[in-house]
Amino acid sequence: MADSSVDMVGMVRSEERAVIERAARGDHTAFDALVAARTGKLYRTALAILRSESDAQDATQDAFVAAWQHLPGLRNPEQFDAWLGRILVNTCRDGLRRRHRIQVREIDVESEEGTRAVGEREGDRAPFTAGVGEADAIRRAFERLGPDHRALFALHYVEGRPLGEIAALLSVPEGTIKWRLHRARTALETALREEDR
Amino acid sequence: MSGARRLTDDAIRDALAVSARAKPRPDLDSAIARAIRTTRQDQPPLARRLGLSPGLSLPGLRVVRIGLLLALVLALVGMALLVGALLRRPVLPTNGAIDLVVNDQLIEVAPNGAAPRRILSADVAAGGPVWSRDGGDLAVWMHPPAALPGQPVADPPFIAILTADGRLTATISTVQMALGGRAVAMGTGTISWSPDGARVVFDAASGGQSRLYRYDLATGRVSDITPPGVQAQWPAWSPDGREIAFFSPQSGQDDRLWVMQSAGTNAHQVGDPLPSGITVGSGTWPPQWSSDSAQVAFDAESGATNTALYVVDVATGRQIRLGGDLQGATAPGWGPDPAQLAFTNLNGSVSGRMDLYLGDPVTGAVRLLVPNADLWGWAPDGSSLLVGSPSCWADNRGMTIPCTSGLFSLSLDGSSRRELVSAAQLDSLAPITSTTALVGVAQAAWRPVRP
Repeated sequence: MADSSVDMVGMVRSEERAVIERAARGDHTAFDALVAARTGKLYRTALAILRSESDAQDATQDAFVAAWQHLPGLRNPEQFDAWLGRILVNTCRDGLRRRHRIQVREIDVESEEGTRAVGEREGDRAPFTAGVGEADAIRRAFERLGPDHRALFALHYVEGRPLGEIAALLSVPEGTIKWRLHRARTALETALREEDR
Repeated sequence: MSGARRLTDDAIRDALAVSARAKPRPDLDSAIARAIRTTRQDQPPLARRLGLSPGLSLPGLRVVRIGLLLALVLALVGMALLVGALLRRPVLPTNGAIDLVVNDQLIEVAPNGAAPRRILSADVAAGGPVWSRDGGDLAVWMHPPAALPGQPVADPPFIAILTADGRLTATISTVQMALGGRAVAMGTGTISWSPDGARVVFDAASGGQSRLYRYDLATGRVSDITPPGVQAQWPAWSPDGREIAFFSPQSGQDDRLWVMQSAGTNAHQVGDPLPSGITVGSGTWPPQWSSDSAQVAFDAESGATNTALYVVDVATGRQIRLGGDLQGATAPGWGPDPAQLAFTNLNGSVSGRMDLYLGDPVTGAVRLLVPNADLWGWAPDGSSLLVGSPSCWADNRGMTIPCTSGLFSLSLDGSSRRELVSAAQLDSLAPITSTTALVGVAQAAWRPVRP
């Protein structure tokens, strides 16, 4: 099953319902199938939030284990992906808090965007005029943000999720997400100014 | 980068992009498979195993008997006090229709719950209904027909003013809001009525800044009343009409409540700065004025899931935290009596339920009215609370369970409840669709009818 069939907030496909129900009754093989269809997408979400490959691996695994543990309490299997997405985001936030307590580190994520030359990027998207230096500064500033702000940025700017979808994922009204995104952006601008010093 | 440069969406997006080719280690699936085989699954909840759905928990029979006995013993004294209190009580409005937003649809029901009906066409989403204080007009956000799921809505929302019998009398849209050539982006923020019902104040964005606007119903004129140098959101007009409370999302300015004159002058912060890590406003509820315009209740955000509730005396700046040992206190709603502030507490952040409390901002005392209920407002006559039961706050926003709640009128001591509209009725009137943004009951407004 391809990752592209999975929508973290939308409904699961009807044929998957039986698989989820079997997994909820303790069928390991059924859960393995759910995992196989979702690891890639969940890993990329975790990577967008955590910016560390090893941490993203851990968060993805922890989220699936938590999902397995609590799956019998999920009343509607059609909401499995929304529920799983919420667990993953919460796992990432917890991971960031733990990481912050243990150490502060800056690990960059290798990406096509980050390594592309400025000229190429300007050709691709006319309004964009920033250089690699600015992108680096933004990434460093991102590392300074708190877990909640990072999660919001990753979901909205990296994954391109609409605010309503993020609201559903994080269990808060859309107005709250708008408010928090506004704050997150202010925090990023403040962190960028810190980077400039 | 210089501090003056504007940070664009594209710059953020490009800097933080993750390659679509990024893949986890090949052994991740097998590591998860090993981990779940050593992890025991939870047992399903007892209610589910028994085929029961969780309901509003009310005191047991024994408690009721004790309560009745105590009530009997205190009846004579209580009666005398009650008569005295009633004689001193200001004349309150009676209870009119209830307007509530269910699955993005505006539903209206009679005060006794009869004749529920959808009052807008099915392709128009609505939100944030609020009645003018004389009950003559209803202000509500409306979204034009929604785009496909995941796609941006083509047309921005607008504010509609409806009369009590459903006639549309005014709209406030982006076109009207181009003040002095500066575009204003309408969102779905807060609407608050002036006490005379002649004006509304609401928040919107212009030039990336959060601003407050005042709309005059008689002239159709919109004025920007944002105080100079301050971003402003979540306005609340005081019952005496003199002041407007609001939150400011600016960095360094979000640790105290703001209050200004209703013309937009004399903006200042009130109360004590909140402790480090706690910021004013949870992004869910606007500040709430007490009926005597002396105090404002507001919630504050503390970390990812925690919230705290504060009450500040606007004149003296005295500020208390209400329900200090509750980690999820939110949704303050003031009754006609300034000594009664209802609110809810999210009991458990992951699969938690709202519990309904009543607090006294003077003494700081709080008491649990009922567990497992969402607060949607006060009856205009102050006799009861409008609640949803069971609490669907966490479920509907996380969509872990397709939770549906019925609408109830709950007595102020929590001992009796009356179902106004069943969950099944609400579901049938406003079914969930592929474009539903907020599942379940999202807001409600009870129309005051002046005698």
